[in-house]
Parts: sequence; C-alpha cells; structure tokens
Amino acid sequence: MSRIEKLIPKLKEIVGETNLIQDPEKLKACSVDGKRPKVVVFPGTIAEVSKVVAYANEQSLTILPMGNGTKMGIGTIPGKMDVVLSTLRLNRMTDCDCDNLTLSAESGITLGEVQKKLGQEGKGYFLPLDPPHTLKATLGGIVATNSSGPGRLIYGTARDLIIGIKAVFPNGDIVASGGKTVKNVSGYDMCKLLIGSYGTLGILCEITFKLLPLPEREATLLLPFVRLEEAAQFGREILQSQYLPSSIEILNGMAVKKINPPIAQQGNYLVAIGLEGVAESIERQVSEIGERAKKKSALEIAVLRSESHSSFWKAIRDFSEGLAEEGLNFISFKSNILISRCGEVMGSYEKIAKESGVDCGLICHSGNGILYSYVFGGKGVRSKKESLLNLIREFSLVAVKNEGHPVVESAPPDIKKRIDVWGEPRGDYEIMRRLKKEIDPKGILNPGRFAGGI
Amino acid sequence: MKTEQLKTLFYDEVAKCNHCGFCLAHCPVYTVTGREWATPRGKNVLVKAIIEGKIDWTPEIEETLFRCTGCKLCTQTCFPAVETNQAVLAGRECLVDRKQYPKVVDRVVEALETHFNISNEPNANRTLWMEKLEDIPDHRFQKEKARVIYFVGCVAAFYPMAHKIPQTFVQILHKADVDFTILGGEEWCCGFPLIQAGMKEKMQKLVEHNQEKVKEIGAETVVFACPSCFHTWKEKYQTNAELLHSTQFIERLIGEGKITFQNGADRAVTYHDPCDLGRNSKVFDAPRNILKRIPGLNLVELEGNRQLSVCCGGGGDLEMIDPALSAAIAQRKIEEIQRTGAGEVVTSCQQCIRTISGYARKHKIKLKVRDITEVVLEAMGSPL
Amino acid sequence: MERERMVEELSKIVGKENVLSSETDLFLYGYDASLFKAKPDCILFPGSTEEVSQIVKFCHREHIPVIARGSGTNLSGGTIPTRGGIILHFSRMNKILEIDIENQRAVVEPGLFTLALKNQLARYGFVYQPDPASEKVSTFGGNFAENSGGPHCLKYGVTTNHILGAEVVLPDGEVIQVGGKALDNPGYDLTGLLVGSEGTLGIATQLTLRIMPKSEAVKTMLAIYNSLEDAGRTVSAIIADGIVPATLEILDKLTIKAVEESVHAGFPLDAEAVLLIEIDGLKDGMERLAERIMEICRKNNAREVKSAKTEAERTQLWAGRKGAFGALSRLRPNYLVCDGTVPRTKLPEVLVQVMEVSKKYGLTIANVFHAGDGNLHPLILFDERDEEELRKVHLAGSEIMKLCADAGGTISGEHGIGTEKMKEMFFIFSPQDIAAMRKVKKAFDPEDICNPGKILPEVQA
Repeated sequence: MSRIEKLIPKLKEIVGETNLIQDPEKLKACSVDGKRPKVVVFPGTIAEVSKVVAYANEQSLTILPMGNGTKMGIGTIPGKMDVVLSTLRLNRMTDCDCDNLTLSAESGITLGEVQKKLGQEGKGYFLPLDPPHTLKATLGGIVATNSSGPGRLIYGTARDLIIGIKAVFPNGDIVASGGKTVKNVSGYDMCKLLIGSYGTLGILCEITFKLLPLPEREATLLLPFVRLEEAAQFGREILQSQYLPSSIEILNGMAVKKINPPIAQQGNYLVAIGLEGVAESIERQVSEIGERAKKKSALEIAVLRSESHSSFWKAIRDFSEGLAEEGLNFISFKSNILISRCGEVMGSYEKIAKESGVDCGLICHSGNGILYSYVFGGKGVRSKKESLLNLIREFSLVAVKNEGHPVVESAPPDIKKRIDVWGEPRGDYEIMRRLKKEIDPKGILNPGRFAGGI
Repeated sequence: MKTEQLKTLFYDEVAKCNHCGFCLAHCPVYTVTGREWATPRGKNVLVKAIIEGKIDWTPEIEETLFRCTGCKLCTQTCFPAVETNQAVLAGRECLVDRKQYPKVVDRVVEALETHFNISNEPNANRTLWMEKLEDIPDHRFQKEKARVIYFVGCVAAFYPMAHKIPQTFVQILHKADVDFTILGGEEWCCGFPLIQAGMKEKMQKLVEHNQEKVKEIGAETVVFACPSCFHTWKEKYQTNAELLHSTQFIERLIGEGKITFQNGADRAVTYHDPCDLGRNSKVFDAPRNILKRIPGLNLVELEGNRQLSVCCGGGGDLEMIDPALSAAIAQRKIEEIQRTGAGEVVTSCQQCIRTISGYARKHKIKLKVRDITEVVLEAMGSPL
Repeated sequence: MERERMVEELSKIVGKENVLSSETDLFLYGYDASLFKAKPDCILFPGSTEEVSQIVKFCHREHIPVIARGSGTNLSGGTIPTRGGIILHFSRMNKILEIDIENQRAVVEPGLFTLALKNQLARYGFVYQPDPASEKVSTFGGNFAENSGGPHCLKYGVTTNHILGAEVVLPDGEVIQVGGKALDNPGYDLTGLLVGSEGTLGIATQLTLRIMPKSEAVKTMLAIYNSLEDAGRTVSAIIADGIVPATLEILDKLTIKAVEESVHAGFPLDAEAVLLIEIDGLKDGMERLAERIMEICRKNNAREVKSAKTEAERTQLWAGRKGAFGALSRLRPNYLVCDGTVPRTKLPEVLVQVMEVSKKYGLTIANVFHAGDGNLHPLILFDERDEEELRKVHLAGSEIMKLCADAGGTISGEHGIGTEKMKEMFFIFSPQDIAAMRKVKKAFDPEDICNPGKILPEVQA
C-alpha cells in the first residue's frame, strides 16, 4: 500500500465515501499536462475544505484546486500531484443581495449559472465579468486565474469587482477578508492577494462580488479595416474620446475567419466596439462612432444587436474552445502591453508567426493592452518545436519591449518543459516567494506551477 | 505679552485647529519649505503646546513664529477659520516680552524711535522722491490745509525702487484737480512694522502723531497707496476722516469724470491682489474696475485671485527677517504670473512690487511689474 | 541608538539640512488629523529613491522604526510614531514624473498633492478619479498607503482601482517595482496588497496611476429632507433601483448649519438632511436618468429636489461637502470621525442606531457621509481638553464601530485602522483572519521596521 493509500480513509471520513475518486481511469479526467493526481476529493462545505487542507498539510500532501478544469493548463507542468480538490460541490449562491448590488457565491458554481439566475432576479442583474469559457468557467477558477474578457474596459476585472473572499489557507484556517461593503480598508486587502494567485496561497471557497443591473440596451459595431495601423489608430481614437464603449477589440484576419462574424469581407483587421448602457447613449454612439469609422476608411459598418450581438461576443470569449473543437493543436499566449502599442505588437506577432511558418489568430482588448495570441501550425505544432520555441522567445522580447510579459497559457508539455511559461522573471518575484513561504511553508498548494517557481 | 495672557486670549482659538492639514495647500511658507513648522497647523499646535506647558519657548519656536507673512490665506481657506496669524502675532509679543526675537528687529525699532521711519534716515528725506519730478507746483504738494491727505508710507518714500508710486500718484491727483497734501517730514511710520515685530504697544506714539496731523490739516479723506498702512490705519487708528486706498480713490475720480483715459493699451496684464488690500481689507473690485476702464487692456486673472491670492513673499516683515525665504516665495509668485501668459503684472502695493521685481531683476527674468498708479497715469496721457 | 549618532549617520545620506531633530520638530511630526500623538526620534526629508533605500537599510540594520508621512491628514493615527523612530517626510519628492496620455497613465512621486496632478491633467481633458475630501493636500503616498476614497468612488472605485504600479522600498531597503503601466502582470497582485497597507509593508517612492478622459457631461442634484432616515432610505432605494450614480452624499442638519456658516453652499438651514447626487457620463439619456432619480427622492419624502444650473453652483455645493469636517469645528473644537461602512440596504436602520449612541452618551454627533457606498462618517463633536468627554467619545466611537460590524459592515471604509481601531479589528475578523494578515506582514517585514504597531492587534496564541 502506497503512502497516499494509507491516508485515504481519513479523507473519506472528511468528505464522505462517495465524494472521493480513486479509480485511475476516472482520475485521467483530472490530469494536468498529462499528469494524473492520486485522488480527487469533493468537499461539500467550507468546513470540509478546511479539514482536507489541514490534513493534507499535516501529511505534506500537495493539493491542486480545480473547478471545471478550464484553466488547468496554465502554469508550469506540475511536479508532485497528490490531491485534486474539486470545488464543484461548493456551488451555492449564499447571499444574493440585489438591493445592495452584491452577491456572495461559492467558488464551484459556474459564472454561466450565476448570470442566468441574476438575470431573473427583480429587474435583472449581472456580474460584470465576461471571461472565456462562458458556460464552464467556475467563479473560483475565474478569480484564481484573474480571468477577464472584453468588457473589462468599462467594468474592470476581478480586482475591481470583488469585495470579499473566504478562503482556506494551507494550515486549514478559514480566512475571511473583505465583506459585503463596497468600500473596505480594514486590514490588508487579502482579496487582492488571492485574486490571480492560482491556488498557491489558499483555496477560494466563497466570493462576494459587486453587481450591476442589466444594461438597458446593447449593440456592437463591427468595423473592418484593410491595414492594421488604421484599425489600431481607430481603436485608440475611440479610447481617448469621451465615448464610453464597454469594449474595443481588435482582431486580425485569421481570428476573424475563425469567428466568422456577420460582415461582408472576412480577411481584414476588425475593430469590434461593444456598447452597453443607457438607450440614448448607445444609439448616439452607434451612429457617431460609425460615422467616424467611415471617415477613417473602414470597409463597412456592421451593427449587431440582440442575438447576433451576444453570439459575436461569446465567440470572442470562447475562441480557444472553438479551436479545440476544430481539433487544432495550438499554443496560446496572453501578453500584457502598453495600450498605445497594441497595433505595433500585433504587427510584430504576425510577422514573427509568418516567419515561423505558422498561423496566428490575434484578439486584443485594445483598451486594456491585453493581447491573446493563438498559434496553430497546420499539421501539428509538434514537428515545429524548435521554430515554435524561437517564436515564443521572440513574442516575449516584443512584449517586454512594450513594458509587458507574455504568458504562455497553453502549450504541449514538451514545449512547456523547455520554457518558463510565465515569461521573463520580474524583480518582485523574490518578495512573492517570501509570501508563499510564510503562508504555505510546506508548499502544499499547487506547488511549483506559478510565476517565480512558486 | 505673558503666556497666561496668551492663554486667555488665544487658547480657544488655536484649539479649534483639528490638524486637518488643509492649510498646507495654501501657506506660502510651507509651499517653499515643505516643513511642518511653516504650516499654520504647526503654528497653532505650538502655540497650544506653549499654553498647555507642553513645550518651552525654544529657539525653533521663535524662528517659526517670526516666519509668517501675515497673508492670512490660511484663515481664509480654513473651515473653522482659525485666526492663526493673530495667534502668531500674540506669540511674537510673548517672545518680545522674553527678549527672544531676531536682532534685526531692534534696528527697525531704533529707527522708528529716532527718525519715525523704517529707513533710519532723517525724516525730512521723506520727500526726496520728488526731486525727479519736473514742473511741480511751488507748494511741492505740502499744504497747511487740504481736503485730502496722501499718506505716502515709509517704503515708497525711502526706497528708490518704489519712488515711482508717489511720483505717479501725485501727478494723478494733481491732474484730477484734487485738493490734497502730503505730510512730508511730518509723516511718521504708521506702526505696521511694530505690530509685526510683536511690539504693538510701542506704536501708540506714532498713531497719535499721525492722527493729530489729520486733525491739523482738516482732511476729510486720507488716501494710501500702501495697503499695509491702509490696513493698519483701518484697524488701529481712530479718526473721523474717511480712509481709502489709492485704487478706491482713483475709481471714485473716474466715476466723477475727473480721470479719463486717452491712451489705449493693447496688451494683456494680470493683477496681483496684495494681501493687506484684498483679503485683509476686502478691496478686490476697485483695481479691477480701473483696469477694465483702460481701453484695450486685457486683464487675465491669476490662478489664485481675490480672496485666494497668494502672498508675494514680502508680507509680515519677512523680507527683513528672512530674505531668502521671502525670495523663494517671490519665485513661486513669478511662476504663477508667468503661467497666465501675460508679460506684465499690475499690483497696488509697493512691497509686492519690491519683492516681485527685486527677484525678477536679480534672476534676469523678463517681467514688467508695475503699480496700478503708473498704469493709470500712462493711460491718462501726457504727464504733468 | 543615541539620537546624536543617529542624526550624524543619517545626515550622511540626506545632507544635514534635511534632518530635523530639535524638541520642537519632534513635537511637530508627532500628530496627524487624528486624536493621537507621539514623538519620533528624528525627521528626514529624502530627495530620491536611493536615499529612501539607504535610510531604510540603516533602520533595518539598527532596528529603528520608520514611518513615511505626507501631509499628515490621516484620520486614524496611521502616521503617529507610536514607537518613536524616523519620520520620512516626502515634501522634497513631490514631482509629476510623467503624464502619458497615450497610455492613460501618470507617474508621480509620493509627495505630490492629489489636486496638483488633477490640475495638470485638466489641460489634457483627463482626470484621476479618486477624490478624497482632502485632495488639495492629500499626497499620493498617503493615498496609496490608506487606499483613500472620496465621493466619486461610488462609481469609479477607490484608490486601489487607480494605482496600477509602484516603486517600493521594502523594509530591508531593497527597491522593487510592482505592477506597472501594463495591466495583469504575472505573479501576485502586490500592488493591490500594498495599497491600503498603511505603510506597514513598504514605502512607495513612485506611483503609476490610471488616468482617463473626463466625462462628457455631469449633473448635480440636491434633495432636501425633513428626516435623515428618509435621506438614507432614498440612497438604499436608488441603489436597489439599479442606479449607480457618480456620488451619493448625505449631510445632516448639524453639518448643514456648520457648512452654511463656513462656505455658504446654499443648503437650507431648516432641513434635517440633504442628499447630494451627481451623475456623469455621456449627455444622452442623462435627463431621463436624473428624472428617475428625482422621482425616487420624492417617493422617499424629499421635500424638494433641485439641480445645479451652472458650474459655479455645482462647485458651491461641493465646497459645502468637502469642507464639512472642518466646518464642524466651528461648533466644537474637536471631532472624531467614525469611518464605519455598512451594506447599503442597512443605512436607514444604522443611522437611527447611531443617533441612539449620541443620546446614550450625551454627545453631539453630526453625520456627513458617502451614503452610496454605505460609508458612514458619524462625527462625534467634543473638546479634547475635557478629559471626561474625551473618554466618552472613545467609547461611543467604538460602539458605533460595533453597530456597523453587527449590521454586516466594517470598521473602516477609507480612513484606515492605524492606531485607532486595532482593538475593533476583532469586531470583524477572527484570530485566524488576523493571523493570516500577520503572515503577510512577516513576509515583508519580519523585523517590524515599517510603521510598527499599526493595523494588526496582538492575537492571543
């Protein structure tokens, strides 16, 4: 009997017999970068999470927290992988206080389900986050990875929307920070520390968000341009104006082709402007921004509303799911760069991809300087390993030159082995390691997968 | 003043200061020094601590209390309107009582006691500025009886840099047919420097002399081109005569049709409100109304104007006590003036002119600094 | 270490003229806008990050506390040198280093006044959104340390939402850059953690800020009430209706009186409360939204609702709000601001409870607060020279904190914990919560050099 097998009875005692998976075949579904955990536990309450973690800490078992697993590929290939702690049974909305415009919910519930329920409350509300994996992403996964979408331009990201987190720390303590007040400076802002910490400091169990009422009206302007510079320039012009779009996306031709939006000519650069808010202001922006685009040589001005509006933005969010459904092998990057340099960086990335002989889809939250790149190499990226490694290096150089970092969010394990997926190390990693050491001295939470070797 | 008196008079006042710190944005001394001792808050705290016996009269407190321009912008912008400058002046009186004050003050006191002017020259020299004037009447503007007295003030009388003010103002009055006189050698300092020095009990002799002169001459009106003399008279003198600043008087003459402007002026100017004229005597409109009447003149306001005007650095005897600090404040003032884009600043105070133009000249900054009387005379056309 | 030697050593770093250590100066850097006082050992005026780093290294080596300070407007005693040590004053590091319109960022030094940046940004049609009432003197270093709020934070978020990066001197003197001009840097969000850490984790020497184009239109309204509760109810109703205005500020009768004596904002003296409402954004639909808000006000018994017709009128209304704290010292010399925050649905009931505390202790309490955020600011008025009264003030203050905590709220919305509310931390946090925060402190500052004795109460093992 292996060591872990000896510990299973105790884990079963905590979560219940049926809430634990040991069957190797079933464990496959929870594998990360080809590695399989030894056991998956499904605690049903925060107290159970606390007990599991405290026990794992005592026994020095490593824990990988997981929801629906949509982000598990992000990060360094895991080393020791004992327990996967699934949050899927923590799936309740614990305090839906629409009158206060706040929601507390457990981490295993999907954002999709939350949005559905909020939409039916009173006059209709929503949680203003629109990250990838519209239907599958759980709140825990979204927050742990600080996942976001095009709407961040106007609504911000998790750090702007979360006002409270209850998490289980590596010693098993249930630690609450923040609360349900929209302003709070009592003690350290532990929420900020936990958001985007990739499960390395604590298991997120319950999260409190600020809510908003559903916008009166929504619309999208699709504005294709022949040249990248024109598209980028137009995006900047709108960003610097007093208009208040909810998103300004720039897509390259390859991304447009994959998404196939309802416009006449597909192969060009596309500026997609999302508008949400008061009816009158939406109508004015549709007409004035459209008018401006015409003057700036946009090839056409397509206005999307209702169904076509929502499905366009869903396709943007779920771009990588679309690639996976096509069965494509791809490497994806998230590069954060200066907002004024989005066009240049997109141009450089296209050039680098071309030189490497691969296709490259680019989707840029141009108002926030966040560029997602998807590199797919026709007959599989495997045969082109060396040139892809070179491409990653070059992407990285370009991002660093523009004050950012490219993070490789997904890649085949044999490529991941050769690189630091988190990009060039930063000067603040040392203090991050000290934080990790202080909070998780035994290194049991998702060890070795995060930036700086954390 | 004794510390006990300080407590009786000012304990409640300084206790109103809640240390909110909003005065830091405005105090010109803090703006250039960045030190807490300079802040009105710090001064309130120290006076309170002295009263409560928590701190002694240290040399630093002396330094602090003698470094306040008396501009009172702090009180203007303080929500409970703490009268910090009053407490500061009372603190200076306590320091004087302890013989703990800057030595330079003694020189002024001595000058005032022997010659009745701050310049320590024979008081007859008060009319030397007239020598440059041509074609002046035989009475040389000194008459036994007159309806109006022009009280020239020590700085304008003794410092060549400020001579232009009496030179132009008498011409204006003369051209406007005003029955006026100056006091010449019989004009004594108004006493303002003594208030600032914490020795206000010594000013009584000066006050009485000047009041007596007004009576002798039978003047209905006393006019001042110096805002500090004007303010001091208004606060400390008892007289039936009407007290007016030159700008108010000129405004009246314009209204009566006695001053008309022949010469247009196609240029932009800005106007600096002297603390003792504007904020402390509430004369804001007269100078502006005058400037607006001059054809072609375009008045561009400073960022800090009217009640929010920032001191030039010359107030509160600061130029005498700490010239470097005074100059540093003047530098900020000049920067503020330059930001208006106007190449000329008009003001109505000889001390502001001295401080601002003195700094500009020393640092070779191209800036026209003029008293409003000069601008008026020029616009009136031909000289005397 | 003896003071003389300390001064000598530190003079080598910043120059003699930038060290103060006289009795008087020690007195002058021992207070802020709170009720606390203490004495530092000396005061330094560093001129560069390098100097700050050297000073902190010295403090680290010699185990001397170091406390960064700007304009000293702190309301919770965060800048009080309770254990002595060195005050770092940032008046020499007060420059705007860069206004980068293209990237919508500004880079500033910590000693810069908030309003000084805003005035410069206005030339480009840009704004930095947070607007603490003290913005004309509050420094960016202070905003960073305290995570300052302000009326417009209702819509735009607090300081933490607008500081994107910082150069920070860690408690061992090492200089690091956290965050930056680009968003979403890999690794932990140290910027987010450091903002609001009240100077206990490190000292910021440069801040990178988010700036944005100014709103096209703004509309300011004033609703007048015969009851404070109705004003509170209106706020809950506006939020519940799904409207998030730029600001929702309440001033009660006592505050109105003080404000009118001080700045003449035009608030009616016979009203029990006024609600200051501002919406901004694109001009389209604004009138309709304003009408909807005014309708909610009327439904909740506002006796009158009017809107500012000119920019001057708007400025005047805001002058009344911004000067409210100070104006109250016209009534009594001192005030204690309780910075409790509650879920917005709880406003009316907590306001009633606050007034019960006022009656219980026989203390005058004025209310002026960021109602839209649920951020109460009951101001207890008193004269600190009356010791018995002062004692009651502290008890009442703590009791109000408890009320807020019990209503599902918290003990500080924007002023910080500082020296004042460490004990009250237990109203909202378990020993485990505090222990977790202590780990953070330990990771950054194991020797407890940076602003020691603040925020975190001792937890009994």
